[in-house]
Amino acid sequence: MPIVVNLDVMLAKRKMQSKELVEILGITPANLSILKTGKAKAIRFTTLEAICKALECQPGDILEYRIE
Amino acid sequence: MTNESTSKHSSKGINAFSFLYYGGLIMVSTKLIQYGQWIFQLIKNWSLPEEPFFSKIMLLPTEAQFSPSVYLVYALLYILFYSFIVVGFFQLDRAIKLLSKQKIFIPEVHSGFKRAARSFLIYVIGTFLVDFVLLLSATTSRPILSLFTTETIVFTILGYLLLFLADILKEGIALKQENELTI
Repeated sequence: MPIVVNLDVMLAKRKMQSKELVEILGITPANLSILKTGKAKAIRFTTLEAICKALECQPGDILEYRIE
Repeated sequence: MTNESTSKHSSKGINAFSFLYYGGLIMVSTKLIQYGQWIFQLIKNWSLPEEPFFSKIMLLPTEAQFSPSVYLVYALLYILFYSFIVVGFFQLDRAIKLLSKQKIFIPEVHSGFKRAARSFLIYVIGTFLVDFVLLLSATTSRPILSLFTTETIVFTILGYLLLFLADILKEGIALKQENELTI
């Protein structure tokens, strides 16, 4: 899929662990893993909003469009 | 209360299907035994048994003068294709049992319906071809339309209906997967 999830990059920049983000977002580690590995088919605005709030970033910092 | 009534309805449906399944199996098995007996008589005496050949077309001895070996090939092919009904019923039963456990949008149910549909259609096409060749080989002017029996039409409709259901289930599986992968 040409949409790439850069959640790992943002987590590293904010020096935050996946475990912490899971607790803040209130989602399961399995779902965060699906998101991080790019297996997710869609992301809810509420989840995106929570991620942006937790990582103090913009949606564009997490999602990127790459031409295949 | 609603769940209870839903499960009651579904169990009624499953029971109804089980009745049809076992009824159908008995019917098919009886026919297969009859066909087996006919073949046994043919091999034992190496001449045409008194009962007519079990094709969809009843051929008179004056219309067809085949050797016992030709009849044996026709009969074995007929039995082979007829057995596909049993395979279809078995696949359908497995799929319905999964449906009764509320496992609806799973690949096993989809493939079960598809295999059952294919089995029924193989039976219809296979027996039609055997009968068609038999009709062409015999010196009879009977129309090809006589090959379209109620059984053939029922299994054709059932086969296509199951293929249609399998396609719907495939769409459902894709939608379910998308829903599950929405974070």
